[in-house]
Amino acid sequence: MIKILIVEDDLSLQRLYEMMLTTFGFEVVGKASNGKDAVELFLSMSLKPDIILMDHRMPLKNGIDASIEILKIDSHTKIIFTSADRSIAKKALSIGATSFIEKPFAITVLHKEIERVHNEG
Amino acid sequence: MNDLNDGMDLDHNSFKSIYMSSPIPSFIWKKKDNDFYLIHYNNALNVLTKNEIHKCFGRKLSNIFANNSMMSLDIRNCYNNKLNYCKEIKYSLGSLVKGKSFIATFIHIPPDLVVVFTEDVTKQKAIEKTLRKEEQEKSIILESIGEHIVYQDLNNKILWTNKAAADSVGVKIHSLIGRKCYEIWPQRNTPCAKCPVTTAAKTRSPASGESYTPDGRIWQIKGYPVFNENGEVVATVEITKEITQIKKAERSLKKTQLKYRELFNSSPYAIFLVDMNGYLLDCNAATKNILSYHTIDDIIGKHFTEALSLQEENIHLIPSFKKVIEKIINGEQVEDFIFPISRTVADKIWVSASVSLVKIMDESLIQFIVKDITEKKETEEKLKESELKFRKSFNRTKFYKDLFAHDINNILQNILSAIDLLNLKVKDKSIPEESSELLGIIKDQVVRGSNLVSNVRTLSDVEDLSFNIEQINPLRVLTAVRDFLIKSFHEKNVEIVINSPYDKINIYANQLLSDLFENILINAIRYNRNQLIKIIINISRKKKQNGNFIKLEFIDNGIGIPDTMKEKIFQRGYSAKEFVSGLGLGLTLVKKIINLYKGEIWVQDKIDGDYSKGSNFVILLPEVMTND
Repeated sequence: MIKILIVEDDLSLQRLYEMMLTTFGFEVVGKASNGKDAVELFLSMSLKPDIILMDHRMPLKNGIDASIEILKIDSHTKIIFTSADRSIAKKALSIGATSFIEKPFAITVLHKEIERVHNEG
Repeated sequence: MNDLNDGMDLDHNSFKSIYMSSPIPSFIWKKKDNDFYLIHYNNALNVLTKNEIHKCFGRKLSNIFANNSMMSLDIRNCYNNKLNYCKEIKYSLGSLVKGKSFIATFIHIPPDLVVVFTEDVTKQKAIEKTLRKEEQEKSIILESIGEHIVYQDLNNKILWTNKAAADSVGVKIHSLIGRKCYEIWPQRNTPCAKCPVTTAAKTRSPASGESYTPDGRIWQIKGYPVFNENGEVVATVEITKEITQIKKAERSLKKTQLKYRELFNSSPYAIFLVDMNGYLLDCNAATKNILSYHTIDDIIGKHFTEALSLQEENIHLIPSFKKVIEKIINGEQVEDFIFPISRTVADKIWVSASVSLVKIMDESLIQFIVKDITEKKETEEKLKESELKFRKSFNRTKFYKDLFAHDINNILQNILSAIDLLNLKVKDKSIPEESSELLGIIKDQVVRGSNLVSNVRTLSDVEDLSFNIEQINPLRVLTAVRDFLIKSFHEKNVEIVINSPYDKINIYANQLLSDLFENILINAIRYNRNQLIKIIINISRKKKQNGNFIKLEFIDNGIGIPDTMKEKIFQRGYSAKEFVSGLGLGLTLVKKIINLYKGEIWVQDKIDGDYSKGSNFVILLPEVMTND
């Protein structure tokens, strides 16, 4: 089962991601509502997630900065950025994110992207 | 005639008597053998030799004078050649006449006598020497003088000139003597009109004038009368100096001065010159216009502090001027400085002043060039204002673009995800347990979207419109907002308690007060994970140095706000560098409304040091003080 960490400051969206991921049969191994908590949570996890679903605009630490720190801890971590701000797509990919999905997106898009990223190894 | 002949018939004794009494020392020598013998001398020689001559009487010439002495040689020469002559000699007779000069006259009286008259001219020689020396010195002085000195008679005939005068026409001095001065320099046949030399002779006083020669040179001529011992003018002295270059320089200087003065006066800028002690020496016409002095004389000669004090509103400029003058005196560079200056109480203009050190006629002066830049300054101000408006407008556009890109898309993402999930469940024909939760999310997001639109409109209103501020009881508004929100979030378990010891309290506010309360409460409800969302509102009075305030504390049990975010949550605005996410637009609007009411807002933890237990939003709003 693909293990996923959700990083999203919009609490209802965080809840919806959780519902749709479990519906698709993925395992939500953790949730964080800002970049700082995400890094701390990632560090504390003995079993690291396969994929991180990462928002960008968040309080305390944004998605780009949090991803840089997480990739420093484990460079194999796969990060899917979900953001309404397409201007950061290039930056996200350049720092090592695996893919970028622009909000709003259909849940099937997210489903397929998780499958694709995971299968690419 | 016969009488005369009688008188001429002198006897031997008479001649002897005449000879003896002659004032010129004399002796008579008689030739005998190969020598001459002193056979006579007169009284004058006796006096000259202090009676010592008698010791020489009857002695040989060769015993008295050495053979090669001048006296000896000349006596022999006179006798041998039968010559009568005069010459200047020096001779000594013992120590008595040593060092004296004589004019000796040698006369041969045939057959064998030689008479020698020796006139003592020592004194005359000394006078002559002195005169010659004086003459030489005078000549050196006169020759070395650059001015032409011409000594002439009353008919302008040149009697003497110095070298400079002759050099000026390229001839030798002697070729000028005897010629008329007007023939030489002005090259005329007749005397010059208004000749200062002629005038000096006529008026018996010095006269001067200027004259041009045909070659274009200009001369300054001074004439002096020369008087004889009877006080009559007998000649004149002309002293002439070429002043062509001086005149040209003077003319050029005058022209330059005129040009400078014209430039100075026609300059549109006020120019004034201050000496190193701070006194105003000169200023141009524009000074009057720019600085609005009644006349230039109002300030000329005054110290700059006094000139500035003429208008009370300008006294504050004195220290700046003092500093600038000090800098200039110390040789420091001074950049142009801009300052407002009052022409009258109601007429203030902006000026720019360039200050520099200038040298005028070897005097160091401080020059101020002052330009009226009021128009430029006003244009700059307008431009700045316009730039600010543009910047504000640009930031506003960017802000709204950001807002819609982020917040609306997040709302849409919520709704889309919820609908997709519902559809998925419907297709699976499974009645999802989460249906009501998903529908709740959709509804919540619609409310959120609607709230966002309302806040955007209100935010725009806060900036663009001026609402009537009036006395409002915040308790009444707060109660209405609470009731509305309880109804709006009926599916959630929300409890809002208002604790107020007062019924009648008033603040200065307007219709935006309900938006203020609504946004604080909506945030407290939305960012809360508890089953029971509990908000307590405590109202109290607070006295501060700047007045009396109503204090409202909104204490919730929500997710809390970390310390690093406590200030940022109010800063989501057009100019915030960092996009602050998480709390939407509500708190930005709250802050703006509070600023409008001249109040204060801050957030603190419900429990000190543990933000996760909830927040306390504290608001201070100025209270309206009534008499009851």
